[in-house]
Order: sequence, then C-alpha cells, then structure tokens
Amino acid sequence: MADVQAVNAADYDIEPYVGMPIYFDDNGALLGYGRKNSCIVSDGTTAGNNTGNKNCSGGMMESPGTVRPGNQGMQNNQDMQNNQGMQNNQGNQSNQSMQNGQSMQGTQNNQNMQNAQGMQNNQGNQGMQNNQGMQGNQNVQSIMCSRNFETWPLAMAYVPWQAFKQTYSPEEGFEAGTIFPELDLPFLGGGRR
Amino acid sequence: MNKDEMMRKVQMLSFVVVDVNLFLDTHPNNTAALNYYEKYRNLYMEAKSQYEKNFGPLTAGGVDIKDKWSWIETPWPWQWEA
Repeated sequence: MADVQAVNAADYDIEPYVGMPIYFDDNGALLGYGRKNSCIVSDGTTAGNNTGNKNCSGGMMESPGTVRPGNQGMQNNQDMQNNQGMQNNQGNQSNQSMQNGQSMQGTQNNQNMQNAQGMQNNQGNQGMQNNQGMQGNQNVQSIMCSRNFETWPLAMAYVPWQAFKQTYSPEEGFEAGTIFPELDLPFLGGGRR
Repeated sequence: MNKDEMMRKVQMLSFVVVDVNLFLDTHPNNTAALNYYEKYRNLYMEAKSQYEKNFGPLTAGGVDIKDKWSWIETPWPWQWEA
C-alpha cells in the first residue's frame, strides 16, 4: 500500500474537503474517497443516523468470507457502480485490470467515484486488506456495522464548534440540564437495547 | 417568594452560571457569552444574597458577621426534612 500520495483532485473529479480520506490500492490506484455514512450501530435496532443506510442493513448479516457467486471477475464499469460489483474487490485483485494502476485510475475508479455506496465499501476495504477472511465488501460492511471497534478501519473524527446562540431561560435550562438548546439531546447510549 | 421558591431561583441561576462558565472555558473571547455570564452572575449573586438575608447563610462564606457565628443556626444536612 502506498504511503503518501499527492493527488490532483481534478484528475478524479473530486471535490476535496479538509480531512477527506482518500484510499488507494496496492498499485497506487485510487480506490475511493470521502466519508462513509454513519454506521455506528451494529444490529440495526437503534435508528440514530442509521436510518436509510442501506449498507448497514444490506451488509451486516452476511458472514465473513462470503463471496457471492456470479460476481467473480466482474470488470464491467456498470456493475462496479453498485454494491454487487464492489463486493469482490479483494477477489478481483488478481485479475489483470486490477493490477494495473493506470487503468484503474482511468476507468473503473472514476465510475466508482460517482457512487457513495462504492466509496463506503472502498473505505472498508482499505482497513481490511490484511485480513485473510474478509474478502468481500459486504463483509467489510458487516465488520463496520459491528460493535467490535478493533476491526474497524482507522478514521478521522471531528467535533463541530459550538456557537453562542439563543439560550434557554434559567427555568428551562435547569430542567433540561443545559442552557444550550443545541445540546439538549436525547441520550441514546447505554449499550444494547 | 417563599424559602423553597427562592432556593430554586438560586439553584437555577447558579446552574446557568456554571453552564456558561463551561462554554467560556472553550470560547474565552466570546463577547456574547461574556456578557451573558456577567448578567447571570449578577442575578445569581443577588438571588443568593436575598436568600441569605431572609433564610440564613447558604455557605459558611455567606455568614453575616455581627455578634455571633450564624452558620450553626440553620439545620445540618442530616437534620433536613426529607
């Protein structure tokens, strides 16, 4: 895996932002970029930011190591745009087009960039490269949807900066436990429910 | 305002002061928050001194020094009624 690469965003039709993770394969070809959707909750029992996250619901039930039949050797750009196609990135590494960084950059990956689903899978893939058992992106998804954070790819975190805005009245604030309405949020922690 | 109401007012204002204190810890130059803090700290100190004038000191530091130590005149924590 390449250590550090300078990327000309224009080459990839990327809209960069500070801290944006970018992922490459062993040959230095761009695999994907950007953040994945929130996938904090493993079992789908708590909504949170998970609502509508198809990756979680679709991927998490599959057992590690599963490679769906029919996807082997999938090279078609169209197919690579969806999850089905992305499942076998690991499996595809031996095929010719995957070994060629140039062609990756020029074709398949640009297609991948158009699709958030694909990007998410790529992000997962990067973290799982050394894991023999994890061959498909669906399985990476299942890892990222688990609570075993040790198996998750490394990531960057940020905390939005609070601005001083309208506060609660002392009465409201005393009841809510904060004078800041933007911090008056439901507590959704506490482990499995 | 009776004793309980006044105590609640002190508690609410005290909480506001603490909460904006925390905000200022990370936003030390925020003018709006500084003004807010000043306003509510004054309200808090006013409410506290009002309470103490009527119902005795809230802390030993609030004892009104005259001829005796009034801190021991109000109930100890284990003497409060539930």
